[in-house]
Amino acid sequence: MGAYVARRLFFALFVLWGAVSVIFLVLRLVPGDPAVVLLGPDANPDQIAALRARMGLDQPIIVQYGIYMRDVVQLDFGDSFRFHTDAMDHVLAHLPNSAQLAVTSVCLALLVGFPLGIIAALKANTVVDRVISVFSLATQSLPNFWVGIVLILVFARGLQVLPSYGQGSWQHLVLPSVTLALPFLAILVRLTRSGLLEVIHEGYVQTARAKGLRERAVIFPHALRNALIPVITVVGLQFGALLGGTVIVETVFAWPGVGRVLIESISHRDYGVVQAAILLIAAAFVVTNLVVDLLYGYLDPRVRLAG
Amino acid sequence: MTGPTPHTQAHERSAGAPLRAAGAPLLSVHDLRVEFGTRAGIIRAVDGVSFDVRPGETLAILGESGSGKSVTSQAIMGIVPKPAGRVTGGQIRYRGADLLSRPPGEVRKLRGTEISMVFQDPLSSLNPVFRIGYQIGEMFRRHRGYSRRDARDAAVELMERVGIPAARERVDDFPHQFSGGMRQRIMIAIALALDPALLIADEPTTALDVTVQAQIMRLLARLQREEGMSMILITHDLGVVADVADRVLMMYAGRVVETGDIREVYDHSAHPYTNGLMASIPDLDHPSDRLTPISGSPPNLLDLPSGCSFRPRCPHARQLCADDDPGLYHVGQRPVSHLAACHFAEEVTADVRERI
Repeated sequence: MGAYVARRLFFALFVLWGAVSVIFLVLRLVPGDPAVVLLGPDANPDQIAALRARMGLDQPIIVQYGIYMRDVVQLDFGDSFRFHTDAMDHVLAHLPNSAQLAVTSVCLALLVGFPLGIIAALKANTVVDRVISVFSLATQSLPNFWVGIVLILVFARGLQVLPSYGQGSWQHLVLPSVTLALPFLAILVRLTRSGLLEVIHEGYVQTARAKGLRERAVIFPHALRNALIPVITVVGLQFGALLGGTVIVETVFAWPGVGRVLIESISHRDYGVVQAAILLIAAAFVVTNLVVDLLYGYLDPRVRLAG
Repeated sequence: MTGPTPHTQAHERSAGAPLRAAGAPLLSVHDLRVEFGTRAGIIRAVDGVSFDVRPGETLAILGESGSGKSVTSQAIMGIVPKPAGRVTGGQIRYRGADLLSRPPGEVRKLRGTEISMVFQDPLSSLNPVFRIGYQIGEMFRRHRGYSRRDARDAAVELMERVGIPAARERVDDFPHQFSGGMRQRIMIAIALALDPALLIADEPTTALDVTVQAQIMRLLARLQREEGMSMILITHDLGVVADVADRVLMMYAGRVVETGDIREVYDHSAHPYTNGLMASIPDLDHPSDRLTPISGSPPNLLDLPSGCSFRPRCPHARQLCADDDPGLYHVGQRPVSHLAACHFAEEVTADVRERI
């Protein structure tokens, strides 16, 4: 088990290196010069050149990359061009806001998605099942930003019951977390439903019935535990998509999280902050997947031997 | 069922008929009908099956795949797969009360406590993600209200009884850590946990290595003797049946085609299908002989022939067989308990005598 985790962590470092290298390269290849952005349209070429030299941007990309990597292994993620503070500190300052949003959304999706999926499976091919399935198919198909805007129009402008942007009270959390949770919730419903329907005819479910267990004692431990094994894997992968979703949702609802920091930093060509934010999001993704894999081994004892 | 057939007249009980223990049957199935809805149409998986199981006896139900033997057992257990399958008629009386007309909750309480079942494939029948101690102990916890610790101890005790070595060390293992034979012992432990009066064993040795098949059958026979329980043994293996069963019920295309005491049916089989099965048993005295298979292929339940379902494969078939569906009748000159669904049962038994 320890060796397994160590191996996974080693690969995790590799993934993080890949992510940050790609973003490093992409940032420098797309048009737009941080020095120009910082100095504004009135700056003359000499000023720009001087600033570029001070920021180290006059060096060849490969040299910049070498310097950056040297710093990163020492856990120095560079400075923000804009705020002249440590880039990682700047991102980390906004992390709690994103975490609050993500955790609320995941909880919402799990608390609603699992029960709906179970109900749909137990009432398969009835009206209840159809309604749930159509609802989940619809929400899965709608893009985040569109749902966000519609929710704002309905609940903030129309009914005027919830705030449309910013952060502060729990009411501020409602619309962005619902927006973020919906596609995730929809996938959970569909996976739980199909997973449960798949195992409901398995031999061990028949055995559970033959044991004279109550229907509840048949479905919950025996069927659901098996049905959840494949669901958990997808939940882990979907968590990555949810992190991507925060970038859009935070922008739509002006939520001061890592996603919005990322978008702003990109438009200001604030390389250090963009790299730090990407690194953080990638790390969250990698850690989630590791947790899911370990959970998988817990849920399915057959995997433990192979691990 | 109309018109005179060669054996509609009742025969009196022949002198040599075995006397049966008096008393009410433990289980009495009467005119059971189970249908399955499929894309292609409705299948009558069980079509008017009747039989009794008396206390302490072993009834073997024989038949090929699709003959309705497993569905019959599922119907008795009340676990016919829904919504595709449903019981459409008949009665299943257990200790006199019809299980089909009682509330499902009441019938559920009988499962595992009064009537238990062992399935064909122990690997898929055990839940892969729960420790076997949990799966055995569940019987005591859910039906008898044992604590987890007591249920685990009871599970260890049961494992020892069904011959699982090092039970105390293995109680926390998972099904995939056991061999096929050991898994079937675990299934048997679960089925027998609460001392049921009736055990239904649905091809309990089919999925196992030949070497452990005999062990499992011996174990079942021993436990049955010790507990004095009744057993319905579902199988397609005539050899297994000969050793353990008291009576036999032959099924074909959802119907009973022959029934009687085991020796009687073996020695004087009165249905061509039974005959065919006997002929296809390898003869160990003449191992070089070719096996004689039953000609034709198993019946298509969606499109059964008119009259007798076995007609297309039957060497005795005549016009009468196409016109008239033979009911289950007493075979002339044989004990009253020997019934067969063949217009020419007497002719078939006569053939058998010649063969011997």
